[in-house]
Amino acid sequence: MIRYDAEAAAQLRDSILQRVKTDVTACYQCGNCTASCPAVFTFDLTPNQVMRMLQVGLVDEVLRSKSVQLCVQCMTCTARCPREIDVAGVFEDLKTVAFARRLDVPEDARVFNKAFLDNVARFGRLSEAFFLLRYNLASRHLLNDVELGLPMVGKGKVQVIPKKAAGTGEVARIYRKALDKARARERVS
Amino acid sequence: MRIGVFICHCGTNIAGTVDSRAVAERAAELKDVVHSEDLIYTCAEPGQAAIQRAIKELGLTRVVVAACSPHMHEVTFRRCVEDAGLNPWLFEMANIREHCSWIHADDMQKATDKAYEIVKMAVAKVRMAEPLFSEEVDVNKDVLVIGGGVAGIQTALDLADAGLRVTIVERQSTIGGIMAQLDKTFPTIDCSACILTPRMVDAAHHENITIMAYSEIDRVAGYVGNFKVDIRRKAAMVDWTKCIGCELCMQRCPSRAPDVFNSGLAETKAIYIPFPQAVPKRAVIQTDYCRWFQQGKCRVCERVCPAGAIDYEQKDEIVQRDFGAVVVATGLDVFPWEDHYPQYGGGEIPDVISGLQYERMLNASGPTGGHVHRLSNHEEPKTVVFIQCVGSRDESVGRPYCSSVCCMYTAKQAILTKSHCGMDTEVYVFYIDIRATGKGYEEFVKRAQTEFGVKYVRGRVSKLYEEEGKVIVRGVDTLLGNQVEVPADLVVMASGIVCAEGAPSLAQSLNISYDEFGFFKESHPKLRPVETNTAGVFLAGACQSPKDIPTSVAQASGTAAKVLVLLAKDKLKTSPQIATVDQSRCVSCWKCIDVCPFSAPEKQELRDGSVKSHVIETVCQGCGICVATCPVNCISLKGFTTDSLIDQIEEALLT
Amino acid sequence: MSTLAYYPGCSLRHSAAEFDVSTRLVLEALSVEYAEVPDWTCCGSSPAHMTDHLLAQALAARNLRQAALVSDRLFAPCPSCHQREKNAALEVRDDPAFRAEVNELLDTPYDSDVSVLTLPEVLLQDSGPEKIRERVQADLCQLRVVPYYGCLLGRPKVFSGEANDEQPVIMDILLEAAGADVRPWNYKTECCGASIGIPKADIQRRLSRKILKQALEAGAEAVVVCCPLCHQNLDMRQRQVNAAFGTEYAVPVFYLTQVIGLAMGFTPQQMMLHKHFVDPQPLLARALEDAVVFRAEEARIAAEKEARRKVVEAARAEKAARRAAKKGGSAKGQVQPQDEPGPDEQEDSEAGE
Repeated sequence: MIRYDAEAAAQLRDSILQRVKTDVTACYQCGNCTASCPAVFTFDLTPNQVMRMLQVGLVDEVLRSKSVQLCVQCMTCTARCPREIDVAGVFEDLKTVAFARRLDVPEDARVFNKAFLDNVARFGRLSEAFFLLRYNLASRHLLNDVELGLPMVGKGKVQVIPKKAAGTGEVARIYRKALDKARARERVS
Repeated sequence: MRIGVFICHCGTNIAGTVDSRAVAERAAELKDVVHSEDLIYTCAEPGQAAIQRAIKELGLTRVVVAACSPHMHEVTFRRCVEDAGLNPWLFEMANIREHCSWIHADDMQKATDKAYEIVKMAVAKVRMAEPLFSEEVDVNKDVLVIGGGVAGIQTALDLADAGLRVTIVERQSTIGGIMAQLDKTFPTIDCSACILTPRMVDAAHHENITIMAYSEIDRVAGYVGNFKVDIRRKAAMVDWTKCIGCELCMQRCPSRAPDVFNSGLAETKAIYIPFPQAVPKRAVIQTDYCRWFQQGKCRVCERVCPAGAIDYEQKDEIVQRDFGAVVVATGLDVFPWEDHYPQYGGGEIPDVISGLQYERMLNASGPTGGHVHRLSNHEEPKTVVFIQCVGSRDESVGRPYCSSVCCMYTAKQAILTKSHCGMDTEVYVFYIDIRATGKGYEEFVKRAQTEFGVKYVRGRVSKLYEEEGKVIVRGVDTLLGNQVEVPADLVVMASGIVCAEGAPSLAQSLNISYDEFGFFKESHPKLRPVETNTAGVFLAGACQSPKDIPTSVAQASGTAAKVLVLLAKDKLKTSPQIATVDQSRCVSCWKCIDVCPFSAPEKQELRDGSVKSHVIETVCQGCGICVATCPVNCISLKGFTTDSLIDQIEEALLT
Repeated sequence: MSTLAYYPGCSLRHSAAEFDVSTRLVLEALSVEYAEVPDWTCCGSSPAHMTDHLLAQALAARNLRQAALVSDRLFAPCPSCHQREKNAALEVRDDPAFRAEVNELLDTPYDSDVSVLTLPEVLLQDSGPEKIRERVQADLCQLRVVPYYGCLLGRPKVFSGEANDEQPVIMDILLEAAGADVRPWNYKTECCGASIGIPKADIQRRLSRKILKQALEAGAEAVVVCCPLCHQNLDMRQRQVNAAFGTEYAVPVFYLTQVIGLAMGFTPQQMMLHKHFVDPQPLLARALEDAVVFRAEEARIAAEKEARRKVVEAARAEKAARRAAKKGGSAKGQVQPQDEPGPDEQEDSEAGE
C-alpha cells in the first residue's frame, strides 16, 4: 500500500522544474512516451510509470530502476509528448542523480560510461580499443563483440597504440572537479 | 449639490478587509456630501430602499454607491435611483470590491485607506455629472442567421414559428452543414440525414424563412435593431430559377473536381450538386475545375441541360438587407491532421483516414455505397484501429482543448464497423479518457465494449508505419504497462474540431470577439453562453465551442429565445453614454471616422458650408476611441467627460 | 562564407575514418573552407551527459573555446558531438551564471559565442544543392537509397535546423542533388540503439533490424547515414543482427558524403568503401551499369514520342489545309466546337463527347 507524501512530491517537482525546466504535474498519463520509446521492452518501469511515480514523490525506486539506466536518450518521448514535457531530460537528470549519490544501479550502462570517461580522462580522446577492453573486463562480459575484433583491426578501424592528445591534462582536471562538485551537491541536499 | 454616499459591506466580501463604516464616516466630511451611510447588502431590497428613502427625504441630487464592480450592479442601481425620481446618470459606482477588498486581503488599514480614496474620486466625478436621456430607436424585426447547419436551421425554425422573418445565409450550395455528412448519430444510431432532411425541407418551405444558399456575408454595418448587411450571392454559373436539380449535367460533365462533401474520398464533377437531398437542390459550377473557364472548351452541360439553366456569364451579386438581430451559426471544420502528424504518415499512408472520411465510407449514399474497404487494395479490413485525440488535448500541435464529440463518434463508428464488416472483425480504440457526458452516452460506450466487443486500449499511439501490407499501429497499454503494436488494415483518426474556415474574419466584420482558436466568444462563459458582447449579435452551435448535436440544438433554441427577448419590443432604448463633437472646434481631419469600429461619426455639412464631424447618437457605443484620438480634443464622452476624469485624477493626486 | 572550424570527434579518427575522409574531400571539392579545431578533445558524447550535466557542458565548452581560435562557426559531422557542442553553446550563451560555473572547471575560460552546425546544414547553406548538382559526374539514378537521419539529425528542432522533426529533409535534398533515387519512408528518425548496443545488445539488434527491414519495404537497396554510431550499428553489426534474428540482410550503408563524393566522381577507394563490413561496391557497380541502360531507354522513348508527335502535327496541318481549301479560306478565325478530339485528347475526355 502506498501513502502519498505531498511534501516530498512538491520538493521533487520543484527540483525537476529548476534543473530540467519541465513540470511533471502537467503529465496526464497518456503514455505516448512509452509508446514512442525504442528501448522500453528492456525496462522494468515504463516511462509513463516513471513520470507517475515522480508525480507522487516515489523517487528512490525510480533512481534504482533499470529503466533509468537503459534509456538511450533518443529524445523521441520529448518530441511527441502532447503536454510538451521534457521526459528525456527527466531521465537524464535521474541518471546523473543516481550517479552522484553513488547508488547501486542495475545493468552495465554505468560501467560503460565510467570506462569511457576514465579512458577519455587518460588520453584526451577516446582510445576505442583500450576502452572496449576495459569495459569487457569491468562488466565481466569478456567475450562481448569478440567476433568483431579481428575484422576491425583488419580494416584499420582500431588504433592499437593510443597517444595522449594535447589538452588531456585539462580534460582530467575537468572530470575530477565536476564529479567532486556533483557528489558534494548530492551529499548536502 | 447634495451628494449621498452609500458604502456596502457586501457581507464580508468587502467588510472582511475594508472597514466600510469608517469609510462612510470619512466620506461624510467631503464637500457637498450631505449623507453618508454604510449598508450590509446594498443591492438587496433593504439596501435599495435605504437609497431611495434618502433621495426622497433628503432631496439628494447625486448618488455614489461604493460596492462591487459596475459590471455586476451598475444597472441595478441606476434603475433604483431612477425609480426614486433621480436621473440614472447622476449616479456613480465606486468599485471597492474587485478593485480593493478582494485583492488587498492582507492589510486592512491600507485597504480601508484605498477604499476611501476610490470613494473620494467617485464623488469628484459625480459632481460633474449631468442628467442624460436615452433615445429610442425603431427595431427591425427581421433576423439574419449566418450558417445553415443544424444549429442555424433550429434557430431559424424557432424564430419563424414565432412569427419573425428569418434569412439564412449559407456559403455552400446547400444547407445541412456537417450533420448532412454524417451517417448515423450517437447514441441512438439514428440516420443523420433522415432526421435532418425533414428539418431542412421545413426550413425551405416555411413562409417566414428565406434561404440564400451559395452566399456569404460581405459587409455588416449598423447596430442592434438596425443592421445593414451586404450579402454576396456568389455566381453559380447556373440560373437557379430554372435549374430543376435533375443532375444530368453532373453525369455528362467530363471534368473531375475534389468532392468536399465526401471529404476527399471521391471525386465529383466540375458542375455538381453536393448530395441528392440537397436543399436547395441546384447545380453549381466550380470554375477552377471547369474546362470552359480554364481552357475555353466543352460547354457540354449547357447542351444537355433540359431547363436551359446554364449561364456562364453570371457574376457575383451583392444584395443589401436590413435586420434587427444577427445569429452566427457557422459551425466547425475538421482538424487537418495530415499537416500536423507526420508520425502518423502525414497523409501518405493510404489506409489512414480521418473520422469524417470514415463517416462517408460508412454512409450508404457515400462514395463506397456504405461498404467499408481498405483504400490500398479495396479489400474488407479484418482489423480496424481508431485513434482518439488526434488534434485534441495536444499542445504540441497547438490544440490543448478537448473536442467533446470524438469519444462518442469513435464508439459509434466502432460499433458500425462491427455491423458492416462482421462481428469477427477486430476493432481497437486507443484512448486516454472516455468522455461520455450526455444522456445515454455512457451506456452507449458500454454497449460498444460488451455487446459489440470493441477493444478499448488505454494509451496514445506514437507512430504508424507500413510493413508487409499492414499499417503497424505502435501505441501503449498504460494499464498493463506495455508498449503494444497492432497490425491494422485500416486506421481511423478521431480528428478534432476546429473553427470553420474564415471564422476570424467574419468575427471582425461583425465586431465580435473570438479566442485564439477562432471560436467566437460568448458574453459570459457560465451565464450568457449565446450572446456576444456586441449587442444584437448572438451565437448558436459549434462556432462558439465544440459540441455535439443535442447541445447545438438546445443552444440554438436558447439563442432563438434571446433573439425574441430583444425583438419583443418595437423600440429599443440606446445608451446615452455616447460621444459628442464640439463642432466649433472640429478641424475636419476625419481621424474619428478612421478609428471608429462602429462607423458612428459622419461628415455633416453645416449651414455655413463647413463640413464637420457629427456622431450618430443611435450608432455610437460609447467606446471612447474617437475621444482619445481627436487631435484637438473636441470630442467628449457623455458620462465620462474629460473634465470629470481630470477632476477624479486631481482628487486622487492633490488631496 | 567564412572558414568553418571542423570538429571531427573521436569516432571519425579511426573507427569511422571513411566518414572523415569523404567529408574532407567533398568539402574541398565544393570549395568550403574549414580548419580542424586545434587540440580538440573528446566532447564526452553520451557517457558524459548521462553522468553529470556540468561535466558534459564543460567538456564541450573546452572545444568551443578551442574552436573560437579559428572561427565563430563550428561543425561536427558526428551528430552526438554536434548535439553536445550545440547544447553547451546555447546554455552558456543564455545563462551567464552557468557560463561562470563552467569556466571554473576550465583551465582558461570560454568567453565567445560559437555557433554550431550539423554537416547537412553546412552542405546545404555553405554549398547548396545547385553546386552539388553542377559537379555531378557519375549517374546514380539507379542507386535506390533511403536517408536515415537517426535520433539526432531530426530532433530536437531547435538543434537540428530541420523544420519537421518526424520528416526532416536536408539529407533528402542533398542526395537528390547528387542524383540518387531517394525513396520516401516513415522511419527516418527511429532510433538505431545508439551506444546502448554494447552494454545491452538486445536493444540495438532489434532496433537496427527494424530499420533495415523498413528500408527494404520502402524499395531501397542501401541506407545512407550521417552518423558514425548509426553506421556502426547498421553496417558493422549487421551480421550480429542477422545472427540474432536468423535474417540474411546484406544492405550496404553509405555515409552521406560518400554518396555525394561518388556522384562527384571520386573513386570507391578514395571514399574508402573497402572499410565497410557490408561491401557496397557490387551494388554501386551494378547501379552505375543500370543507369547507362536506363538513360538509353529514356532516350529511346523520348525519340519515339517525338516521332509520333511529328506525325500528328503533320496530319493536323494537312487536315487544316484541306478544310481551308474547301471553304476558300473563311474557316480560319472561327471558334470551332470541340466535336472531334485529337488522339492526345482522347485519353482524358469522358462520356458526352
